[in-house]
Amino acid sequence: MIINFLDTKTYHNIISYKVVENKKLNDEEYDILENGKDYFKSKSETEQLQSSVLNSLRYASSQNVLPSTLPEHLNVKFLSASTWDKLRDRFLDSPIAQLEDPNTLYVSTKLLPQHQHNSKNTLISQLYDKFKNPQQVLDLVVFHELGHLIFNNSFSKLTQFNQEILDTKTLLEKFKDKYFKENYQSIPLYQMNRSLEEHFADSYSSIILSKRYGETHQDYIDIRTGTDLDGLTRTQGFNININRLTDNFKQLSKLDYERDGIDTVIKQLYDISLTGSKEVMTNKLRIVRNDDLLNKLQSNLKSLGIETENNKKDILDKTEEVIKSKAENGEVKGLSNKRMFDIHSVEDRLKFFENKFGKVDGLSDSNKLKK
Amino acid sequence: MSELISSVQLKKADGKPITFNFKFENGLPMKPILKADFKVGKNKQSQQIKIFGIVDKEIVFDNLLIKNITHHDSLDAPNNKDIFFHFDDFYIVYYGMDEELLKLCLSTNAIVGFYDRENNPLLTIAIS
Repeated sequence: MIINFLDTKTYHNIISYKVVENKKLNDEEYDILENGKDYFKSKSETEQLQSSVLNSLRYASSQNVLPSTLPEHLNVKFLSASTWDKLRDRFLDSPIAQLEDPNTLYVSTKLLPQHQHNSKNTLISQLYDKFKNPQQVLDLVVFHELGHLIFNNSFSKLTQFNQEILDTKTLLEKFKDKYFKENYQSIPLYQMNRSLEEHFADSYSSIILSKRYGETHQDYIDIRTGTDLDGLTRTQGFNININRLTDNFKQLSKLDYERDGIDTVIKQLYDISLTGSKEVMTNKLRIVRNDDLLNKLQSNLKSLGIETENNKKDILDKTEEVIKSKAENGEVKGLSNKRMFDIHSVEDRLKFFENKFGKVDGLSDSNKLKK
Repeated sequence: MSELISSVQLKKADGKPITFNFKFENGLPMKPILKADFKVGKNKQSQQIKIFGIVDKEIVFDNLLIKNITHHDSLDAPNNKDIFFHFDDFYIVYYGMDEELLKLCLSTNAIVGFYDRENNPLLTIAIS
């Protein structure tokens, strides 16, 4: 019989077996080479986590808040706390489009209350401090992440648009983002589009939580504003996301999924999030050098083939228009299909870059380049 | 035995079903895990290597078949492997086997034996 050996991604047919013995074990006949480690106790945390996640999902189903746009199958992948720490770094460097499977929700045992004692400054521990109820904390995380999956399945053109925007970046900009942690500052259009998704996920989570636990949306705003560095969100909290929730959450109390149905409500959530996202950009323009940010935004639009007038209103309006247009029909008036460079010229640029500055880990990632 | 489940079917707002599939971080579908204490030993006479798995006799092993054996990078111990023995309704897992020892087991047709707490054989197989 052929047995498949599996590592995370590949199978190797390297083993077969047959039943061979049926006698009592006498371990005195053996020199012991290794005693197995007992990790079973820590593994039981997965059971604890699954129980809470199931509670969240069953509640969502019972409340009819799983929209029809979701696919027939979703995956929930459970990570240990240590893996989460490693993967989080990877996530922070990567936009959502580069995750292994967009229909997978990741949860970690690090979310459990027993892992909060040494992490008072993380978002999760702050959630425990505020809400006290572990299920409420898990609900917030699960519904937020579910919100991302709903967004990606309901407005998939916008997710693709993120990648289109990223494709317009030069290698130097990618380098600066990665090594100077500039967090996509050179592409505010991307930040705005990603901010929209974060708004949506937070809003989706908030409308369910407020119904289940009675707190106002403001309770969730207070805890979610600030940095996302320790949150479970799979994108780093861009500077532009700070205070992103302050205004748009005020509108959430007008929504009623029991009255209108969740399929209608997610469209309303999108509209609110888009308004909020534009508002965040406007707020940002008040506190940074306007010209610099506007120039970058104008440049982002231009690289997508969209010309704007040299004024703040037109640039912001066109930005909103391009995102709206993407969400509604995937086409953008005036959007050129032309990319700044194709794969061959990217490789040429990479060679040039590496000759000039030396090899840079991460920049040679062919998948990233192809995207 | 843990009580992990591999999936749950719920319903969407339009009444259509939606299935959430639960996976371990190595990508395997979740199933209950039967606790086992493992040792690896070399027979003093025959030099045969054997992996002993001592399990609590919570389940009846008669007619049970191992459907698959897989190994995965151990997340708790670098350079070690977690060995998953797949049965229909559960796994038995050897957590954190030394990678070099695993190679030795594979190259020498090691025997894997599952025993109860009184050392009675439940299932014994040779791997190669």
